[in-house]
Amino acid sequence: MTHYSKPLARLVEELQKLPGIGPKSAQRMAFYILKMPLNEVQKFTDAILEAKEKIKYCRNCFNMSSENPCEICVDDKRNRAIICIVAETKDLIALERTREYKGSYHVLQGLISPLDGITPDDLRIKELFERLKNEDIEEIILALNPSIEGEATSMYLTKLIKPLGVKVSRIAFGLPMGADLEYADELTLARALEGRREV
Amino acid sequence: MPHYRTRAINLKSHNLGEADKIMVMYSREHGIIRCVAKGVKKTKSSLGARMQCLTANNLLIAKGRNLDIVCQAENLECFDKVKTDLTKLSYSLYCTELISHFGTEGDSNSAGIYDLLFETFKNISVFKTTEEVLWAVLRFKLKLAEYLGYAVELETCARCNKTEQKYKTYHFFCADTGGVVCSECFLKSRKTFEIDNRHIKLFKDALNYDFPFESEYFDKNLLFSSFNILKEFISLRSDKKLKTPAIIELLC
Repeated sequence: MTHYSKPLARLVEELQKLPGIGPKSAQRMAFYILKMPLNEVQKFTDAILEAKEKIKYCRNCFNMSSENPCEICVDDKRNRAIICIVAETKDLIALERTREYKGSYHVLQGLISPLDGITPDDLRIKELFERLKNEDIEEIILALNPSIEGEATSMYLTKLIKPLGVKVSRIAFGLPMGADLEYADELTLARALEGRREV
Repeated sequence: MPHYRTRAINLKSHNLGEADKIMVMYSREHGIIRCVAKGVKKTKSSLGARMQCLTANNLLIAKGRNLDIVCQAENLECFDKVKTDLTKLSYSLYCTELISHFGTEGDSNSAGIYDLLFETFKNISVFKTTEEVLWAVLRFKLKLAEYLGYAVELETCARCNKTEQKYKTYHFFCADTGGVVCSECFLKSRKTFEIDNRHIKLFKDALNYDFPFESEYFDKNLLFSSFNILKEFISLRSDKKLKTPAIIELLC
């Protein structure tokens, strides 16, 4: 980075640390930031700092929130007897967008991944069992990705939770709305048939 | 843009940008290949399920400047039963990790290794008991070692190349030298395991048969000790530490 002046080189270097940002994109962003009015840049940096300082993990469900416990955990209208288990906060947000689910959540902060060496001890599974012990839980809904990691985590949790006498269910898999049956792959169709229901 | 067709099994994937993935696959024609699967994370992507790990596909791939791009994928086998059982899944991922560690690009033995991996996943998905699954994994490790040029020595001492004089059979396996060692060489060897005639017979039969046909092969202790011997043997030949064995112990 010898051709950049020192502060610009530092900015490019820092931007490159963001996921999916290579040297070329970092350079484009750096030049864009330099062309922005100073108050806009100030707002931008303030937003980053404020988010970093105020957003914490909820001590109950491990959702990212500025409150602790989070807004969902303190909401009295929600059914606390049902816990929906998700891998990341972004999955929780996706479910919240549906406005269909009115129970509580538990964010695992990842999925079991044997190939990456991520074990159950690296996730918030111990805390989930604390909740199962201390709270009156009737049902656990597993809303994990239909990937190898998601399957492994679901099977592991089911193996541990089922003996406790708590109902365990998993979100349905099948065709997305508006999709064409003819283009669907074999595995998705097989899962859709498996999870069919009477109408 | 030039294209090529190949049969490949998905080993692992890395996220790329918003909805793309870099797929690491083992192909029958070219060994390890790395390709970009575009838009695969979107719900409507036709590649979605086909780009899951432990899935075999017939692929049409476009040559790219850096990474090739998956254009079409026709599913050959999705090994569904492997993915719905935690024991089967853990052992299959162990096989996958071995292939990604030892597989190379443009491997001259790629057809044999691909067929071996396909056969192993197929057998694991059909088998019902843990013993049968262990047999499939043992056969996979022994055959893979053969393809890689590390075939396990079971006839003569792996150190002195002589036959055992003192006893009727070999009583030690040296993971370091890669085979049975005689009672004299045992003292000079490191990483040795005690074995008996049953281990040697099991290794020889596992190389020839894809099903544990004798009742003694359903002995869990014998299978687990054989698995651990070969695990050490393989680990010593890998330049990176294997991650899945620890998880197998935890999950299965």
